[in-house]
Amino acid sequence: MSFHAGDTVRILRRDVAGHHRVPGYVMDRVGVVTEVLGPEAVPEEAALGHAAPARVPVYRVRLDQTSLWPRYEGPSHDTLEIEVHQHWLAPADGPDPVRPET
Amino acid sequence: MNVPQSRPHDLGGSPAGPVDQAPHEIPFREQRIDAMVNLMRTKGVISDWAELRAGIEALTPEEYEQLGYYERWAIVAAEIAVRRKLVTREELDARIRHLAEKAS
Amino acid sequence: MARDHSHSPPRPDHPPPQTRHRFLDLALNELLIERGLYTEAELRDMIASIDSVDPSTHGARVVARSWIDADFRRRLLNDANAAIADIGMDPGTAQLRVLENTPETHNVVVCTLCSCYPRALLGRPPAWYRDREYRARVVREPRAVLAEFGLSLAEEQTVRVHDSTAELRFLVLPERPAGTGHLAESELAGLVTRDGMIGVAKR
Repeated sequence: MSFHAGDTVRILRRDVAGHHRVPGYVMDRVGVVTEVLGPEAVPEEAALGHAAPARVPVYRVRLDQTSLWPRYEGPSHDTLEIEVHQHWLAPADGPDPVRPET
Repeated sequence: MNVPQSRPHDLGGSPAGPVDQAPHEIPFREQRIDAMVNLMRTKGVISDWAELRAGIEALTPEEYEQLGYYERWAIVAAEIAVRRKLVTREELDARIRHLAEKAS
Repeated sequence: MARDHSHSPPRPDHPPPQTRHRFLDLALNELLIERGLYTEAELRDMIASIDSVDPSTHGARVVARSWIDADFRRRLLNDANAAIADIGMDPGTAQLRVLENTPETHNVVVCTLCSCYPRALLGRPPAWYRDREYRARVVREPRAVLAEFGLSLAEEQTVRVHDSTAELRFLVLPERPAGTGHLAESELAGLVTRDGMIGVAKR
C-alpha cells in the first residue's frame, strides 16, 4: 500500500533476520509522511548481493519525540525524522498502542 | 527454534555515557582499509553498501564491541572476497601467518 | 598412512584471533592487488581522493555560497545534488538533502545503525559520530547531547533529529551569523565548521 505526504503511518515491528534499515526504537511508533522518495532497492535483498533487488517507495516519516520516549526531557514540539521503506509501513488511524516503559 | 537476532549495531536509545569529542587522527592502516573497501565497491565486488552493512551486523555483540570501526570493515570485506572467489580462506590464513612471522 | 601424511603440506593453522585481526586487512589488500582487482596506484589515488574532501573546502563552501546567493540557496534546498554540481563540485553518488536551520528549528544528524554521513561534502566522519555514545543518545536526549557540545537551545526552538539510516545523506545549513554582511564568500566559509554542518554546533 502506498502513502502520500501528510498521511499518518505506523512503522511496523517485524522480526527480520539479516539486514534491514528500521531501528528498534521506531518500531510500532506512529508518524507523519513528509516526503516520498524512490523507488529504491529493498535493503533486505540488496544485502544478499541480488543483482536486481525489488524497488519500493521510501517515505520520510516525522515522529514526535514525546511519542518515542515516554520520559523525553525536551518540549513536545521536538521531532525526529527517518526514512522507511514501504513494506515497513501500515496506515495508522488510531492512537499508539500501550507500550512498556523504556 | 526462533532465536531473535542480536542486533549489536542498533544503538538508538540504548544507555551510554558522555560523547568523547577528542579529535582522532586516522591512522594510515584505517585509511588503507577505507580505500580498499571503496575500491571493492567501485569494482563491483561489493554489490551494494547493504552487503557490507549486513556483514557488520552479523558480527557477534562481543566482536562488534571489541573490534575497531575499520577492523569490522576489513573482516566483512574478507568474507565478501572469499564469497566472490577472489581469494580463498586458506590463502588469507597463509598470508596472515606470513605477515605475522615477518613482523615478529 | 604415516608416510603419505609426512609428504602432504602441513595444514595451515588458523591464526589466533588477535593475529588475524591485526594482519587480515593487509593480507587481503596484498591478495586483491596480486589478483589484479586494483593496483597499488589505484589504492594510493583512492586514499588521496578520500583525503582531499575536507569540511572547510567542500561543505563550508556550499554553506557560504548559500548565505550570499539567494537563488543558489533555493536550488540547494530544492535539489542539493544538482545545485552543488552547478557550482563545479562533486555531490557524490548518494542523494543529498540540505536541512535549513532557522530561529524556529534546529536540525541535527545521526546514523544510529551505522555511520552514514555526507562524505562528498564533509569527508570521513569524526570518531564520535561513529561511536556508541552519540548514536545511542542523540535520538533519545538530543538537547543533553547538544549541551555537551556547548550548544544550549531555547525551549521555543524545535529540535529535529534526522536518523540517516537509508537513502539520504544530510547537510545542516547553519544560520548566517549576524554582522557578517561585509564578508566575502571565502571569509564566510571560514566561519563554518564541520560540527555546524552535522548540527552539533551553531555554525
